[in-house]
Amino acid sequence: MSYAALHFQDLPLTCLLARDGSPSTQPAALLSSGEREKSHLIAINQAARAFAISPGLLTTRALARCPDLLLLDPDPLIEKSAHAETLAFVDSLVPDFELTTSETYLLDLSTLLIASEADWIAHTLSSSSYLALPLQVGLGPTPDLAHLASLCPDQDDPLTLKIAKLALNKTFPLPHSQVLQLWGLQTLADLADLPRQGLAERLGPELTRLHDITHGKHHRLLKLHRAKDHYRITHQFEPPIKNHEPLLFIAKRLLQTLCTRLQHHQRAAAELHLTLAFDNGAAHSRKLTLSEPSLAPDVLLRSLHTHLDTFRAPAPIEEFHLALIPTLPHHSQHQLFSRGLKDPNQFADTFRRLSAIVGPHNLGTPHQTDSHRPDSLALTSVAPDFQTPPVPQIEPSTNLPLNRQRPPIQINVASEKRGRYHHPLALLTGPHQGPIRQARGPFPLSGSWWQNTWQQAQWDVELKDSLLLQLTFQPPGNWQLTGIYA
Amino acid sequence: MELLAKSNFSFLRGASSPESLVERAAELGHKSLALVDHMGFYGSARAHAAAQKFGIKAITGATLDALPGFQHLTILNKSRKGYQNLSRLLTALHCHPEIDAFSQHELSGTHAILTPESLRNPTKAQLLTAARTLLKNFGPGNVSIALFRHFRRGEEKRNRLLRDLGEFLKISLIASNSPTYSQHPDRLLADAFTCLREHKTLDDAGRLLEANGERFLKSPKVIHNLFTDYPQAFHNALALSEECSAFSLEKLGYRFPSYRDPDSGKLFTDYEQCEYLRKVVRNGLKRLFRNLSKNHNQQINKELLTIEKLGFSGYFLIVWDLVRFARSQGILCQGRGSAANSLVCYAIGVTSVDPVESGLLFERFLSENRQSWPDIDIDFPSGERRESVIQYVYQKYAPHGAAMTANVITYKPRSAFREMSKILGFPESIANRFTDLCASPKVQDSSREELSMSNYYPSDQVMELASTIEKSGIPASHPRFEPLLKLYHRILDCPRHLGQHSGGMVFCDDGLDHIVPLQPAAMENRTVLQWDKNDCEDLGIVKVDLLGLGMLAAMEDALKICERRGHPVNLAQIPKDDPATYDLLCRADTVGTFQVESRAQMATLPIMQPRQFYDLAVEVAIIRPGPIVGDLVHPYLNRRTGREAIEYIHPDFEPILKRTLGVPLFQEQVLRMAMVIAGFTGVEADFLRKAMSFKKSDERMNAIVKKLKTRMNERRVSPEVQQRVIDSIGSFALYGFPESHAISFALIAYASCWLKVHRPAEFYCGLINNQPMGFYSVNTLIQDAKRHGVRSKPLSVIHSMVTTEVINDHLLRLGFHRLKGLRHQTRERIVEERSQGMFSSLDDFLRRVRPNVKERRLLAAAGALNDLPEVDHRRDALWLAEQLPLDDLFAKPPPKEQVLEMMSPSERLETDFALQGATTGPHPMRLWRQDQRAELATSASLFGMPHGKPLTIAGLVICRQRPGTAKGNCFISLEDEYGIANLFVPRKTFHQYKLVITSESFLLVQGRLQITEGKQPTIYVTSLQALGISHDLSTTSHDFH
Repeated sequence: MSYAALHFQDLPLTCLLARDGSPSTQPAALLSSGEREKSHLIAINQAARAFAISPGLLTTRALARCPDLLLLDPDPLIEKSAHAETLAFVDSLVPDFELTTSETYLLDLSTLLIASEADWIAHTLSSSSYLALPLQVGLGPTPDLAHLASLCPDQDDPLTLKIAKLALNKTFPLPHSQVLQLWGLQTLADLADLPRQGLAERLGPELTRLHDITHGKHHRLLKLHRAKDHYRITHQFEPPIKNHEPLLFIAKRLLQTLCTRLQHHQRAAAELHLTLAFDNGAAHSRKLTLSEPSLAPDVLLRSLHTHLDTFRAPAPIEEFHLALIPTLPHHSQHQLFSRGLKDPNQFADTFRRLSAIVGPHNLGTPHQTDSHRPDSLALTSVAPDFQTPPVPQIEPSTNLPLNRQRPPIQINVASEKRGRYHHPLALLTGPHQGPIRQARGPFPLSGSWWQNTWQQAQWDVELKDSLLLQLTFQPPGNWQLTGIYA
Repeated sequence: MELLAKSNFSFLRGASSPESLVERAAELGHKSLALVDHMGFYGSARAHAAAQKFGIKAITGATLDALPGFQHLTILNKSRKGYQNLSRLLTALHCHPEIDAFSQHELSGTHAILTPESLRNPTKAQLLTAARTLLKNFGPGNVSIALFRHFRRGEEKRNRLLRDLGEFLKISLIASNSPTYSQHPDRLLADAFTCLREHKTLDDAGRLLEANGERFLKSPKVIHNLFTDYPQAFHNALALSEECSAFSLEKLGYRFPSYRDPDSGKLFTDYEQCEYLRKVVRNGLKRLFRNLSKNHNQQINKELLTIEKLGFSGYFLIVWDLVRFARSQGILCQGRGSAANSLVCYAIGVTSVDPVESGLLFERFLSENRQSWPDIDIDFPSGERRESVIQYVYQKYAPHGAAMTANVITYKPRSAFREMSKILGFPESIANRFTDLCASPKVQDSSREELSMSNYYPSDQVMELASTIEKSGIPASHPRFEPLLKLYHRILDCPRHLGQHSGGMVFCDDGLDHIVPLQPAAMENRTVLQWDKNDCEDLGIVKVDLLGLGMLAAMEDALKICERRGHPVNLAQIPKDDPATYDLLCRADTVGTFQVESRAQMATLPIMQPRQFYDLAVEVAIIRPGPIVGDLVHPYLNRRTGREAIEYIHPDFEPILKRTLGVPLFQEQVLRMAMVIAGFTGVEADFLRKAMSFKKSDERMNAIVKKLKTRMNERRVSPEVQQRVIDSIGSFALYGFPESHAISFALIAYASCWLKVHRPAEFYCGLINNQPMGFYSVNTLIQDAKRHGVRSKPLSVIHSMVTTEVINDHLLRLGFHRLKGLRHQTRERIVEERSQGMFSSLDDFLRRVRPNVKERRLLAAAGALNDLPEVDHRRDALWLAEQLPLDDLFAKPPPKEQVLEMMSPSERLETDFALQGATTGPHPMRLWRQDQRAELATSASLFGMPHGKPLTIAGLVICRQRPGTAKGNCFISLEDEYGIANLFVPRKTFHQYKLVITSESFLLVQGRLQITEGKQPTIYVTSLQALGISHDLSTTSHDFH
């Protein structure tokens, strides 16, 4: 047998069960997204099958049949992590393999020296035990037969596979599955028994290919998978180091290696992931996003250097792990377009230094928020590419420039209540005092009544010396000098 | 004097109801209030009614958008002419948005108001152009400029600009606050509506929300003080409001259309209409009666005199014309409701009940005391045939002379919660949970005093609103819990959008669009007016209900088949005392019939043992939620079976209640009881009738009950009797049922039962051809037909027609309409090609009919190709039909080979259910039973078992019911190959097995037998489980109605 297939059945469900340590006897199902009452099962485990539950069943109906059914929502993060683990596992088995589906890998065994197929399967199953995920292994003379063999739970003949089950699980491409079921075909063996010519005349070349697969007459090439780990490197320090000089020295060498690999695949680094492991068991991870994809080791090293300059290790560094996230390199015609920033990475480096001083949450672009509340500002963190974030366009309500007092000055104001509002008469305290010659207002404002409600009334007042001020009254009796009109 | 108020009928642009705006305006001292809803007069009728109540004037107007050069333009009506012009303009903008509003429409009698919001960020030049456009189209003196003071920065600058514009063009200024809500707290809802309109959450809405809460309705004094620097603006507003107050909706000018002379086409005068009606009635009576009795003679004269006095002759002629048109098209129709109290209606063919013979009271239908128009509802066969009558009305009064009345869809608890939680930023899953919780048990909002749930549902089934919200996932400590609660309360019952009334049509001789704006309905070729039926009634606009009834369509089909087969049936002449029909009713063998087929009806019929027509009318009336609430069903049945003595609440009620054994079952009886015991006049009794028909209006009901109590106290009626009388009225307020209506329905019910007994093949055929309707699926009907000796043959391209056909008295042939996914044109082509010559082979069929690949598979899988010569079985057909025939003259046909195996019986069953929703083969339970060893009870064997016997039974669920009146208990109808078994699931057991009951199609049930009254077996369920049927049949059941 030249090919093997590894099938992690119902991986999105089994990885959740593995995470929670649920026993295999616990019936469980994965739900479709949307309203719970209209949701249906998209995957179930073996224990759930015993209750006549099948994928596609409505959740309410499934619960009627098995009240103890554990219902789980898909978790893309857990799924991604499980997928990475299975990928790493397969990568440790063979150099050449195909990532056929998210649950199935097709392995080329031709380069391996295998004494016994049974031993290889036993070894593979035992070495996968750390994943805690149910695994089915199949061998076959062709990739597709190996794939089908992996879908048989007990390593049966792949032709015994039920067509209805294959159609439901969508783990193997099965064209015209509805027609085949309408024809009463139960298994692939039934399909294999049909006349090839008759099939071709009725359902076309797709079914002919499937027919050939069942007879082992179709042999396709694998689409070999190349791991992203190619751009990942680890270095262990013996003994652990206590300052970052040797670290930078090693990092420079490693970055050169990684950048050469990237260059080889016509890629550039978009992000740099750094992980430091300390001898006290702690670890430090940081993702450094580059403003512009780069292949220059110096640029990458500078980012790393800046970060390490501002970082204090809690213990000697034992292991150093570096990964580059590849992307397409930036291309632009020389000198055709002028750029706002000559060297975005240099600017990002400066920014990172600032961030280390003031704290990342205190650095960004201020902008006025879309609110009626005056002087309501928010900080937008700087995008890696220094693009201006979309901010609401707020027209000033008056043509006069206003020198805003930040923070506003608390003052005492003589006022009288007319109707619903307090009208200011004279400023008693504060930098500008005296009777008010003319007042315009009130301009009541309020909002956020659904949470953190606020309300105030603004006044524009003129003092005796023609000084124009903006006052704000906040109930119950708080007056503020919020600005001076120039 | 506020001229620019918007109500919540501006749909997401105003937050208060027209009534609350008017009430507040009256409180604040306004003498008038102009409602200028967005693109219509939606709230005007309600504002008008409220204004009459509170003694102020309601001015009509509208805010139009999409006019060239304007974002919004407000137009007021100064006169009836202006109202009519604006109404026509609104209709045109809705129905033909591409028209040029200014050049193609007369605008006299209207007054345009340029507001600060008419243009978006206008420049001086744009404002000047806009004002000149208005002056040109509306004329000097018919344009004003409105100034607002909402305390916003920049407002004064804009006001100065508008003031200068007014001075320059000599346009008067008016002061307004342009309120969008009546009182300050309604700002919350106004903001919420803004979010809904803009599809934003409150957090994201930003400056789309109002800067402050100043857009509430302000008093004239406050407005005056706000505009002290523009005193003329205040006085101009007053003057304009006085000018516009000259017209109100009382002067709408609506007149019910007159009947046209069929020969000359000219409108009849009142006198001519009276004479013509007399002629039509005379002819009708001649047709109906060989010799007219004295009573009939007196009655007809009395009725005609009343009709003439009230000027309703034209109305009767027009309804007669509709019925005549329907009959001329072979469309079965029958009037329902109180029209059955009228001998005139019977004579002109609108109803089928002789009111003199049935002892029905004409005054319930029409009396000189009544100020409202008579209410005639006519049932037509639902579907295309009813639509053809509706289209006849549209064409007769075209253009814009007829429209359907609107149905105002309001925010209900689930939609209110969903929308409000959405704008507050809560995830959808919370609304989903609330929806789940609301489904059962019911949610009661303690802050509302309406009859709501607590009167109707047992207290343990009613949950408090706050705790339901908490259970949905929002703790009471959440900062947005209170705002959510507030918004929920405010939005509840607010109008959401306009729907279409199920059958209410309004028409007018000289254009309905000048009475009320019309707009296109969702259905093609239909228009709907902007008022609902209550608004129309309040304004004296007459509505005729053209309702759809599935059973009429089925019966019409059955009658046509009878006629085709040479034994026609005249429904008017079928004997009303047919013993076989009453036998069927007594043994509750009523699957497929009208009104008496529900599980509750079937349970009551053996107790009731109807033996005459009136018994059937009572039967129709008693199985309704109202009488059950009033605890009145059992007394009637108990008295009928002699277990309870007959008594009449009060001796004076004996003549009224004698026919119903002392139990008030009909609305007429309740009205007459009020007249006797409390001395109500005809007008007061009519008010009581109206209050009872407004099911949700506690206000009207409370007022009339108060009056009733006072009168009874005056007459020294004992408290006990008073309470019983009030209880009777209370239950009827929920679900009243007039006697005439019951008799009309009983007529159809009797006819359907008669057809089932005497023309079963035609009866089932009619039912199958008019699905969906009734309680039961086609499969249940086919099984029931089988039990009545009528078998159904499967689909066949050689024999089937488009619809199901009767082959002989014992055999039906299913039609192609049963096959889901077979295109209409393919069905017709099969029949048409076959009429040219029988299909000689499968290839011949495929060549001539040209079905697409999906249809080939459908026909083959359903067994419709099995009768073709070379086809052996369904799978054989599937294999052969998958390949199209070769057009090679010299090609030899390939040798026949059996490639696929034939379907097993269970596969055939599964395919039949999947493709047709029914099977002509064995019942699924028969197949299941073949593999079982255990002896289970069957629906047939129940009849031989003793009361209390423990048993196990299995079957297909065809009906699940859990009415509110059942106190949480559930009723299930379980079908097997022998018939239908009734299950009673007590509340506790229901909760224990709720999911199994609600989601499984086949059940295995343990319980014990109860022989109820009427010797009907019912299974008291103790436990149940899903039946282990491997395949999931796509069955349908009638649930929770």
